Amino acid sequence: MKALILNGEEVDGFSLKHISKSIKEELRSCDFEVEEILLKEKEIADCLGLFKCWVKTPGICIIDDYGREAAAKLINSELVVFLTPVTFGSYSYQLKKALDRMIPLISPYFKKIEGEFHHRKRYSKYPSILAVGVMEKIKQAQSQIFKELVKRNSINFHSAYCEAEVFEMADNFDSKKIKKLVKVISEKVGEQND
Amino acid sequence: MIKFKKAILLIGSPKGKDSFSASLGSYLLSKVEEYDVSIEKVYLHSEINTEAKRIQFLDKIEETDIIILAAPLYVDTLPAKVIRTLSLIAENRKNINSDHSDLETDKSFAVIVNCGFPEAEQNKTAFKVYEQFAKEAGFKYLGGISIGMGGVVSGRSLLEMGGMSSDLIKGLERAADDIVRSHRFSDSVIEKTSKPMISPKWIYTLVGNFSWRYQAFQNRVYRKMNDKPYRREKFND
Ligand SMILES: Cc1cc2nc3c(=O)[nH]c(=O)nc-3n(C[C@H](O)[C@H](O)[C@H](O)COP(=O)(O)O)c2cc1C
Repeated sequence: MKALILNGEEVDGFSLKHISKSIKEELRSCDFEVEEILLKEKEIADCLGLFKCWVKTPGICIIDDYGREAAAKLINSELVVFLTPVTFGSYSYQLKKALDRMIPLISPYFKKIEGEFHHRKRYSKYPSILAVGVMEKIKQAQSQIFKELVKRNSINFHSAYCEAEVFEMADNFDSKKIKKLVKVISEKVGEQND
Repeated sequence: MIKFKKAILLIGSPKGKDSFSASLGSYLLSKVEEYDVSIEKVYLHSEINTEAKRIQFLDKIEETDIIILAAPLYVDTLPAKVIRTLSLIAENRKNINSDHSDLETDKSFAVIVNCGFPEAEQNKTAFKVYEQFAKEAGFKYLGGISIGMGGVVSGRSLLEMGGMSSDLIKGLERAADDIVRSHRFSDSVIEKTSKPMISPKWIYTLVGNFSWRYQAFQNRVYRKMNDKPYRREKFND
């Protein structure tokens, strides 16, 4: 099984290296082949919003940069990890610019899912999502919004499972909780792929 | 008494002038102008790309009383560029006010979000994010106008849309009144603006599906529309 970590650490923000290290360790011990993309080091332009990836070059973004590679890696993973500073309850700019470039992975056609319209699948399988938000100091309201957002994303990205948790940035960061979270979703993804 | 003097419209769509965000925001801004408020528009995707422009932009925000943001919904939340802009604003406000414990709340912030799905309710998480931003930046949050079916517009001004946009126009006119008075959007604004432009919803999705096919046909890729270019053997067919 493959897991892809999208590390959305900001250019002038705090480092998420130690957290990503704990996530990687646990994923590997759960039999994942792990790859991490430190997004701030990659050239990924903002989406142009023109839907050319649906009606001109179906399935591929018209911008030829690392955004294409990131999308190819994501769709061929069983699990994607969003690792991000929580920004007003949402994702960091670095993570979001990559996510905005993922819409070529779904179909333009509309489909009703649990009473609401969404887009149809383009591929048969999509990765489950583990979202790890990090805040200097936990704000409950933002933490709640973050979890709600991940749930919404899992519908639009057709993910079988999703888990989301927000952690406080601390010098003595306790990796036990995060490893437990990784284990929970790894087991679910593992069962699905058996 | 109306005390506001300056309003700025931030357009958060990469499509710039051709976006639905620009049509909505510009109409609202023109109504705000009728209250003798001086106005300005900024296209976030093209106008804050250099350090010099960013500094100028942040100064402008500090000189403004009313900030209106019009943006599309991207992946259930704010487009990346909008997150970046709001982070810059919040950071700048914190730095300016570092010697005060609380940020002043003499500036107000209102949002218009439009999305491509027919249900305007799909914007609800984004509004929560915008409200958190307002809190962190020390702006008074006046509320959000939520619009679905963004696909019907494609660069037209609201007035060119005929009967389809009449409720929306009325709602935006009332919203301008709330904005200049620094009132939270009244129920009538929310009620008018959230009415679906096309009813029933399935007509919108039917026409939408047809429009994707038609555009692909014109681009000579109709038969490729369901292609899976990143399919890995035996994994994703
Ligand atoms: C990258 C991307 C992500 C999008 N995500 C959503 C979404 O999650 N939900 C939705 O209803 N529409 C979504 N849309 C559709 C836009 O919100 C819609 O087309 C909107 O009308 C665009 O507004 P604009 O003309 O102001 O840019 C997305 C569009 C793009 C390009």
